[in-house]
Amino acid sequence: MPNCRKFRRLCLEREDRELRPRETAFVDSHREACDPCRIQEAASVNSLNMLRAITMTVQPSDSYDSKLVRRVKIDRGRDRFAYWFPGIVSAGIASFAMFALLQLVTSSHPVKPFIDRSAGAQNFAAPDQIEPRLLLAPEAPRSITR
Amino acid sequence: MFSARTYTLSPSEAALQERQWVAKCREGDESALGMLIARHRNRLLRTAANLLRDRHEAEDVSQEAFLKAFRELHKLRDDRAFSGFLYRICVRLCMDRLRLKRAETTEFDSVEPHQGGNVENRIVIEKLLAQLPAELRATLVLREMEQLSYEEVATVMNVPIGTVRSRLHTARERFRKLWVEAVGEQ
Repeated sequence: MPNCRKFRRLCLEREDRELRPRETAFVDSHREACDPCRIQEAASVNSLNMLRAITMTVQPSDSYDSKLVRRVKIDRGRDRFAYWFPGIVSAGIASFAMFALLQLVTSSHPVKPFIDRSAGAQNFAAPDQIEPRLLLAPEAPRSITR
Repeated sequence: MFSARTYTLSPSEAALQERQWVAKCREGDESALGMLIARHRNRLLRTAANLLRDRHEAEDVSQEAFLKAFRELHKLRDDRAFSGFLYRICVRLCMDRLRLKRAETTEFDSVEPHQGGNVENRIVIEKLLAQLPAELRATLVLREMEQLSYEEVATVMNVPIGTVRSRLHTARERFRKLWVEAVGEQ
């Protein structure tokens, strides 16, 4: 049915442009002759009219502006923080490293090797290999009082 | 609430004023920010409401669009293009929400045939719209409800005009079929 196809195409095009007189005449004559096309055209027009009829007109709520401005301010603050955040973190890491380095350099505790020289050992010995010895302080002279 | 004093201005003067506001807004001027909000909020809200069919969600999306626009103001080469820039962001955010909604509702309840009634019609049409894919739905709404031209729809959706034509054709056809099924006209 090439005429039906043409009719349906023109019906859709009519929504966006004005049909030429010849096209209008064709649409009118075909509508009279073809029942399915007439019904379809009516459905198409109805559906689009219904769609246009439910267009919403919404007014912003009273708190719309204040809420939005607050959100913008928070967003800008967050942006500023995000901008400075890598710098702050780097500075923190650098200062921590400097502090640790200074601690290492300035600490002057002598390191005691585990060498038991009195026993004649020449090598380092692990702590568990060292025989425990009880070192007593020299006895103080006792004063006997009777 | 802010009020945009644009009623006595010609379009070129309004554009010039908007350019100044955008420039001031870049510097952090709060009054310019308010003026921009006042000028564009109604249109943005209406479009978002028509696309999403939910007043509260529309408010949320339009605010998000403003936020994103202000955040990405440095990307705007021409300050006069702020209006289109903002509108595009809003439509894209709405489309993202529509896609998300569509993904969430895996199975849609079939619409029962009914007769008459404005409120019922509204509900039926909203349900039918929800059955269309996000791209088709947005194209149909922007053209039929927002009365945008093909060029404007193409710019907003960032697609060629030919795509808008074919999408609109498909959307109208599918919507008609859904309508016929729902109302039982045929």
